[in-house]
Amino acid sequence: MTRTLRTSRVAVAAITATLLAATAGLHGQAGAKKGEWPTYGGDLGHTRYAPLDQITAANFSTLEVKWRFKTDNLGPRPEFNLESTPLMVGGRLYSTAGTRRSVIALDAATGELIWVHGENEGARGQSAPRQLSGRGLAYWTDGKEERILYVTPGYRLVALDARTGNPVAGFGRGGLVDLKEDLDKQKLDLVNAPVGLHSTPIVGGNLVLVGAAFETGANPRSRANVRGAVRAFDVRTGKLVWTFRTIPQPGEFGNESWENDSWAYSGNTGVWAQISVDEELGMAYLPVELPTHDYYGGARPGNTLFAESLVAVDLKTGVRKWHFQLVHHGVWDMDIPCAPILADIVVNGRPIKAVAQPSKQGFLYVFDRVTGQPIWPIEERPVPQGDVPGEKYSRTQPFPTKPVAYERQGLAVDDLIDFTPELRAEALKLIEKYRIGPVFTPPVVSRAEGPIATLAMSTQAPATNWPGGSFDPETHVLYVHSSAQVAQLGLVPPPEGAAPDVRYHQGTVLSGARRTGGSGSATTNAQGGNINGIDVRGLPIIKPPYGRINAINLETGDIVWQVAHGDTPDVVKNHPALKGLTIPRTGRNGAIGTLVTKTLVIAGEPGYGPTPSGARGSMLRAYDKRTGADAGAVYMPAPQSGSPMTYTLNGKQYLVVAISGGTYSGELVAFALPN
Amino acid sequence: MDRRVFASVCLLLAGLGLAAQSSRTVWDGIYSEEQAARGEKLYADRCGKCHGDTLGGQEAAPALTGTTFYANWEGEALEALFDRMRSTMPQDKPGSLSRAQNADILAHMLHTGGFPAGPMPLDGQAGALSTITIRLYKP
Repeated sequence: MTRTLRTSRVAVAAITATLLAATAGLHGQAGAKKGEWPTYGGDLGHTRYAPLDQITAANFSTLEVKWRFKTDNLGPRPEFNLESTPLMVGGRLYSTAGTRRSVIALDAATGELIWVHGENEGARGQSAPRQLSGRGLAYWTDGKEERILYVTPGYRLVALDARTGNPVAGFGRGGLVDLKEDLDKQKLDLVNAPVGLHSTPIVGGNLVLVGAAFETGANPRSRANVRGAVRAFDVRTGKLVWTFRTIPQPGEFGNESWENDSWAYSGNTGVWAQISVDEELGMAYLPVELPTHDYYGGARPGNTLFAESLVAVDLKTGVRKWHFQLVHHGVWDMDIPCAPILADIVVNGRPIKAVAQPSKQGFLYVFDRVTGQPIWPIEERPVPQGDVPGEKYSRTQPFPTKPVAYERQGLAVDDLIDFTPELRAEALKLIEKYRIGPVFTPPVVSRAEGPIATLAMSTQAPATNWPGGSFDPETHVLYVHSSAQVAQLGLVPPPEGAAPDVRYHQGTVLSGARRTGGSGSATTNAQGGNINGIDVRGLPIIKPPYGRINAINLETGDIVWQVAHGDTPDVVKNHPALKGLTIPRTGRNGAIGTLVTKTLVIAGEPGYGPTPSGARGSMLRAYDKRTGADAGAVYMPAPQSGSPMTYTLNGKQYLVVAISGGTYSGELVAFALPN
Repeated sequence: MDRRVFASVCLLLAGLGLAAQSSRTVWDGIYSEEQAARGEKLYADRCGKCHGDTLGGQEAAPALTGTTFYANWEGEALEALFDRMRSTMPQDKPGSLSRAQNADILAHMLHTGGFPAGPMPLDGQAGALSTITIRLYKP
């Protein structure tokens, strides 16, 4: 269903036609070019960089809202989690939005709606494992035609005419390719098979690449599930060109790493994060997630390639060129969550085409993207072993020697809250019944007498999640937001109804009716509330910063600066136990994407927080990209929920960011300097 | 009674009533233990798959307890949180839970958050929660 608004069509078509020639050949790893933002990550290497310089530290705080677009009525109800990064090509801004993941085309100068396309997928949409508006879409042109491509919640790839929003008749069947068909030769229920995708497709070399996402993997119904795979389709016809199997079958490289024939039934191992492409090298970079079950690997013994691996494939054929497994036999939910960032750098005088992978575990893995060789050695080191029945742990895990981890990992006494000696003492008391340790300390079977769980940062509660980072191709500095937050890694027997081949689910003895037979647990206390079992009087059990932006020089491997990102939450600032203390800016945790421009790093604060006016909302902040010094902030009525992008139109630089959360439904907001 | 005096007394009483109502927070024993137990079962069936058994959140859905969650809702009326649940959750079948069921689940969330129970269950009727404020710390 497409509705075209006649008033805007003619004018924007004219602008589009004028600019069309300029949009061909726009991809690369040097940031967004020509003032546009033609792909999710700014370019196919996900640098999230634009060399625009109108908005600077001198004027950032004077930015004003130029237009807003509210997404409430694009679906049957408002959406509160708008994660899109819009695209801007030829004066039009494109985005997914709304609960049905509609596609909208707006006038990029005014926000006026030009067309909207939506698919009502009925039961198929309702049963989708990855619902809502998704992360955005892809744009393609050959200089004549222009297309928008996106994946619906029900897992169908749709090609639209970018001018009109109408499905492209010659693509698939009436503009649609059913992605549940021909997924690595699996027979799937087209309505209920639990596979979908919320990341965007990516177009490179006239192919559109699509991954797969599933229900979250803490509580699988069975050890068996749909297998993820990555596929490439002809962008003109929608015809399947190649499939890369993330779970190799007998006779294929890596199959032997699935012990006890676990390859035969295991599923997941999809690519739910953004894929990156180097058209010049003719390669695509696939960030792969875990196999079935994020925390217990008893049913999938072995290293299970290509789980948790960065895999480089030939763009034209899908044939593997190299891979590197970041985690062996993972039990920490360390899916690779975000785009590999392609970066051309010079290390010790040697030019290198590199790929840098931020991660949930707070390591930045940097490779030569041609060969897969680490830029700095990545060492296999012994790691703590666990005692969960049926589990077979990897004795070692890969540790990058450089850069050092950009976020805290695991949990140590020194990480605990230390605003006052009393709070530290309470934290020490609290962790007595938990296991703590360095990175890769495995989960435990939860016991009331202890250990209740393993407590760890940078695992399930990740350092970096799906928004990933940014890279400045001029200064060769990479920017990435990270969160410090503690996850409870415990295992409990699954509830009735789970398949007998599932031995554990994630949880603790302190939670869940299925474990305790009723309400009531050790999670309450009198004042402040022990609000998730591991807080101290309502304060995070760890000391700040709770979230920060990290700048890492990719040529030296050194961290250049780190700043706490986000003003101290009122619930910390005003805590009765902290009266009289001066609390520095703590930063806040959350999934936050960054944007780099000629002089600034720009990102919204996570969640709601104190604002200068006192109004409920969150600040969009800028930092001097060389030093991390504050470079201004502007008010937003809700926190950033997508990642910011920028473009120039008619001589004016715009910043657009998707905001939503809490009581505030999804909205795109465009900022620019006053006229 | 003089009509003007009567009107003034009424206004005063109404004012006092409003003041009493608007000063209620989640610390005032606004749900019952029994209700939270019902809510815990409902939560496990309808919510835990995405938000996690411990309410700690998972990859696809945020935590429903903890400092970050309560910082986001601090100072809001409980009605706003209730309405958000009622209109958008569970994600695979929004609006499929009754007001009473949503109230039970909210009671479980408050119980997990460490807020005390009281003698009466939380009332899920429209408007009933608009005078209760979310405060992480006891006023």
